[in-house]
Amino acid sequence: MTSPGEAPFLQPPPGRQYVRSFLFSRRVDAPLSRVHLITRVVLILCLSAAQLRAMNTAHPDLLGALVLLIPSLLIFVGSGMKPLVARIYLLLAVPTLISLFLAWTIFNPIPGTVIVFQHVVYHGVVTLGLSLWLPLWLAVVVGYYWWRRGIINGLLLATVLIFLLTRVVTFPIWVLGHVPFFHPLAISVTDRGLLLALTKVVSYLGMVLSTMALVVTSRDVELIGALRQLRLPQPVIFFISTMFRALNLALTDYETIHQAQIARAINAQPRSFWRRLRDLASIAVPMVAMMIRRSSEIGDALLARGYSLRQPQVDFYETTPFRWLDWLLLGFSLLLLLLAVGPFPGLTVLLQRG
Amino acid sequence: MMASEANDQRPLVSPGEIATTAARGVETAATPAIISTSGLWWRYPTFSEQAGAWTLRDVALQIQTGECFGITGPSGAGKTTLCRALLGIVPYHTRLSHEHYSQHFRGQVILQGQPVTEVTANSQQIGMVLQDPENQFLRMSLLHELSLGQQIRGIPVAEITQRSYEALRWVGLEKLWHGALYLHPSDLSGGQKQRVAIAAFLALRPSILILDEPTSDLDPVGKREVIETIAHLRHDYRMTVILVEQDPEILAAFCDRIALLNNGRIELIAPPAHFYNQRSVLERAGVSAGELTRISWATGYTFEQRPPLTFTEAEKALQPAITRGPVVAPQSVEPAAHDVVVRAEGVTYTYGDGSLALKGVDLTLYRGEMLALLGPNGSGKTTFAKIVSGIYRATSGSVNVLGQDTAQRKVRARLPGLVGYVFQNPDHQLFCRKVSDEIEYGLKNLGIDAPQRKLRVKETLAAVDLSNYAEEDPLFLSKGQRQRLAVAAVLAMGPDILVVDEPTTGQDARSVSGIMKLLCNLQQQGKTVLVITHDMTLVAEYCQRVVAFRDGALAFTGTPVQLFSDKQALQQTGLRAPTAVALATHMRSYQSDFPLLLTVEQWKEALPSNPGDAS
Repeated sequence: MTSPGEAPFLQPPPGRQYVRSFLFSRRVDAPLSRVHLITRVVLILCLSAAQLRAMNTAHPDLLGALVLLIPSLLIFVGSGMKPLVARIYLLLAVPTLISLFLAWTIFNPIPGTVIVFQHVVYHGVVTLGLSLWLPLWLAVVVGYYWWRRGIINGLLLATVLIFLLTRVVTFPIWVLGHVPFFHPLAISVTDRGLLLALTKVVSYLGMVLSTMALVVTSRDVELIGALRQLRLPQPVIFFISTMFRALNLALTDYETIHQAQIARAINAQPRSFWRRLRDLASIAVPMVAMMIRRSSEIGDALLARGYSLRQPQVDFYETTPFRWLDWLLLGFSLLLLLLAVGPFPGLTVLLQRG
Repeated sequence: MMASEANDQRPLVSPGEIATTAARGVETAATPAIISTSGLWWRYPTFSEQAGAWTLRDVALQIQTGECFGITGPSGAGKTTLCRALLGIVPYHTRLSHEHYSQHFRGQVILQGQPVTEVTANSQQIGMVLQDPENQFLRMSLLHELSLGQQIRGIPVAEITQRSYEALRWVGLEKLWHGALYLHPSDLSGGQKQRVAIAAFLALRPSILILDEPTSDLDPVGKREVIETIAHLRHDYRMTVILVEQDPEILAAFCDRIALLNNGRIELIAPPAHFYNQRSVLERAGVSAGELTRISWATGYTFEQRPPLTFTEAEKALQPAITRGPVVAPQSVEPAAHDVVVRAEGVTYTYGDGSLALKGVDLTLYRGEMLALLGPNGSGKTTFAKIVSGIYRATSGSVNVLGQDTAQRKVRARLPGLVGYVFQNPDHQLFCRKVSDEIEYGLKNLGIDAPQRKLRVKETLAAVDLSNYAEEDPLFLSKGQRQRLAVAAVLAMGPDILVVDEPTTGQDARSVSGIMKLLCNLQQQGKTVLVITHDMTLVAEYCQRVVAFRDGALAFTGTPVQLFSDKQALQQTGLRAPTAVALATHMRSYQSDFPLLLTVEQWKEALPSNPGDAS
């Protein structure tokens, strides 16, 4: 955003390696921070659109997804995110992507040339009837509620117990009738299913990395500047700016309020799902009280500075000009957009044709 | 104290010069009034059809150009409302319809010869710095915080740059100019934020600056920074300053005149020397007086028939007592041996971002003691208290509370039943819409049965004098009542140890006395009380032991006498002795073995009574 020749107040504080952004912080000299915010947003939107095209269910383009992962990785590395924060995000992303892979592989039966595994789990018919395991299941649920005052865990425990029991013991069943419902469901793993799942995982990974980089590197000052350049009305810009500051304060309040709940023994006993919900809802009382008190003071502070919706504000080092790097990246974004919406068959198809 | 040091240099007003136009008086000075009010009445609109009580009642003031005018009074007296009226926020920005004005607002406010109107707040004539530094930091960078008001007024960029830098220099923060664009509010300390707020107004070049309790939310370091800034504005720039403050030492040090606002009415306007001579008026209003004043009230020694305001005056006032014979220390009762309730060994705590908050703390707490946890913000005292109460888990080391190891999750989960933690701001810890439900909340969490809960709710409400408010919504209680409710909600859970975070911040003398009386009663019942505080007078008056933190480690453990007589420890921990102690040290130039008297009570016991004192 700034160069070494600029005024001291526009340069990073001496000795500082990281500066705060929307979330967490980023390196002062992060390569991505030199790109205009509008360019960053356009680039990541176009890249994501191209990645969405690559994971098209009808024509998954694994090679294209892998190639598009490279700019996503470059953006992520160039974001200047703190290594610890990056590791935490990646750690959170990995199980999500694994679940995504498993979900697409197992629960989306896509016909392929090779069937790796197939098992019908639902035949498309609901059987109505009575069985001896039903009162047993109910007894476990009621017993658990009587013991721990919890329902959700009781339901889970009863279901697992009965499932295991019915594998070992055959209970008598009195069938009353069959009702057709929905279509049959099968767990089916095919070669095309695996390919699609892999393409989706690679594409989503790319989208997650670049979006994270955008959120982590952007600062509110840049956003206000970008909105000014986009000629948004002053009240809208002011609302967004105040919202960011208020969010910052609300997060601090939330942390203290949650600690106050711990100090009032919310964890002293095992809590049911509903109890947890109720505890979460009770945070609203102090949060709202704090917000009202804060908003009243923020209002006074604004009035004392002379704020009024009608008066336009002078731009003071909020907007930044577009540089050659921005134009270059905007050109690249256009290319990505062409890949996303144009008549491009995908790299995998091109390679196969070749 | 900084205030007292400044006081010694301040030209004092002799009793002969003191204006005697005290209660509701309007000064007739040669200099023109920059701001004046006459017959000012205001009451806030309510949601019900019934009209609310008047917040301001017939307020008449005249503030001279270049004057530092103090306003003090108990909580809820209408001090902030008066400031809002001077700025024109009340009534012009309260969305009252024209026909409703007369039901809510009467009187006139004149600013520089012109009536205050709805555009006054938007003018460059007057600025207002509020109590909470967080709520007035409106942008996410220091540079834009300084420039906001100027941007609104359409000042050219080059001038904004120049004015912003000058303003930052005026408040002594020019070192933050390099990189101002990148400095986030959370990169600044409370004192720095408050000085930035002052700078943001200075950049607008106002004629009058209103400071509404600017130091009450700050630690001693921040407080000192802001006080020095105010002194700078007074002496070097001769700015008209309206200072709303509870701290009598700050008021006495900086104000030319002080007004007492009580229940919306101006009850007294006088220069500090005369103001603090009105003991009955001040005590009736529940306004705090400085320790020098209180020593004078307690012992009867005066300087020119009034309480002294500076050490020089106090020395002269106490001269007769010393000439009558050596002053001896009153006999103090040594605290008896106690059972150990908390044993912490090698406790460390690391925050999520990797920064070390505690670096191996060893500390033992005993049953029935009142212990002060001291130290600047970020020194680790609150983190330690949160570990003891099970809110945080120590990263390493052991914390044993009443024989239980807090490393175990189950122990920590049940710890609130043994260790109660009262947060600084009551609004952070009130979760229910009924006072009785609030007390019951923690009891339900502990699994206490309904009949027992009802009994405890009744007993606790009676103990904190809130029985009449059992069905009220906590949000509609006064701040003092909310603070008592927050303590009560924790007390009801029956803890043996009570941690109270800054119990006196922003409270008036009456509320402070109420809270401390409650804590003393609990201590007498055998409970251990940990007080996290910056208030050294409170430490001297109530605590038997002090623990001072510095950079995540223990810097001092001992009694208040040991701390206040150890200059090195004070310097190391950034603490300052209370005025009573500082005066005792000062008196050693007259009597080399002058005892270290910590409190006003000790001064009263140690000094021979003044035969000339009529009272």
